Amino acid sequence: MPVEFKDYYAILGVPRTASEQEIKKAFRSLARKYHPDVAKDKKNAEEKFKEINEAYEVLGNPDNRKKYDELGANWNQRFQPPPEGATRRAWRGSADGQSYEFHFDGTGFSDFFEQYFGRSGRFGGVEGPETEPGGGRGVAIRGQDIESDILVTLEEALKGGVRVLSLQRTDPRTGASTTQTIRVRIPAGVHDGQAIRVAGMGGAGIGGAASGDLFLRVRLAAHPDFQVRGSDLYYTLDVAPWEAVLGTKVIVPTLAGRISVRVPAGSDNGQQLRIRGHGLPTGEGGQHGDLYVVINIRLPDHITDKERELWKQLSEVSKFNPRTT
Amino acid sequence: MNPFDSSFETMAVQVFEPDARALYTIDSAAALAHISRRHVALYCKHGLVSPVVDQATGGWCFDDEGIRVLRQIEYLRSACGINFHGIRLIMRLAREVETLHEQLRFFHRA
Repeated sequence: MPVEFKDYYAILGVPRTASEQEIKKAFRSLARKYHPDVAKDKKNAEEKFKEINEAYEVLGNPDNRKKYDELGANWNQRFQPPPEGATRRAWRGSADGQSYEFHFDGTGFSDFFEQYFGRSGRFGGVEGPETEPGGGRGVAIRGQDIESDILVTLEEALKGGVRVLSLQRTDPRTGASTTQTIRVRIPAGVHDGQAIRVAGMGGAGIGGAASGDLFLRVRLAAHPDFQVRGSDLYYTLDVAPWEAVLGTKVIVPTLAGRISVRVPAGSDNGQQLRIRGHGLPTGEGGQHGDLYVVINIRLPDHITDKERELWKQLSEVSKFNPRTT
Repeated sequence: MNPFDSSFETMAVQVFEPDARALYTIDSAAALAHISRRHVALYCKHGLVSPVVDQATGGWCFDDEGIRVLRQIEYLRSACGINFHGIRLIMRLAREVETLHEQLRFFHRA
């Protein structure tokens, strides 16, 4: 089934020559604008938010971006080599060993992303045993497990949610398609990479054997403020050089609201301030991971003549030498 | 219920409520993965699959990820004909690759 090419550069509003920093900045700006919690038009914002996340999954990763650029350059050519891992979505559900195709809708990812960048192709989508030539009549073979990525926002992961998925099965022999719609409750407390098993929704079994299962692999949507690592959250705090040297108090966001944090005097670039218990639930006895506030010293884009003079004075007065060799 | 009622189609939508914290005993896991209990124990012993500890009973159980891994191991063994040492190597490499991908994803977003 031919997939539609997605123009991720257009979705993020950046040129094809954009740097990594420009792409990250564009993503964060758009993610804040279309985040379901703050957007005014929530219905349209949700679709846009998922699109933005998918674009950043690809363009925000240098390896994916390189692969995407090569794909885009060759897209209009007549011959399209089968993408690596494309067969993972096919399952053998018929007695003669022919492969059906699955098409998912509602996972938050487009077919284009799933076909070329989906994680489940790397080691998963266990294929059922090859059927015997001649149809394997009389042999009962359990249906194949199917895997698909599902995009979940941080809020959905915390509180849970309901996702409506439609699964279209196409028989390549006849071209006939059947579509089944299911509602899957995303449990509260899922974490990135977790597999949610939807029993019996995989490939049909042969010879009366049971169907396989559908494994939904959770992919946490990139959040405009936080990076997630396990149960811990990371927040990049931009500070002025004098704030890092002299110390200051700042307001930072957390999942439970904004809190005041003291930046100690002499905080170095990259230093992490640990705020205990403000991470994600660990799933054990109401415990939470931690929030790490990462110091990121920023320089002013423009300085006045007076500021330049003051910096020059500082360079003459200070005995600090960062280079020891 | 009138099957020609337009709301019938909506009501026929299957609803699934998977329990992300569902744990299965070794016997249940063996049944779900279609392998013997003895094989499950063997795979655990050699670190091919990581059971979780049931907080309530202290016993070893398997979550959905464990079921998925057990099925993959069984597929490698029965359909691909890979011996035990090969399976151990493959599963270790797969875990390492997955960990590396997660780390890369984190660092690219930082």
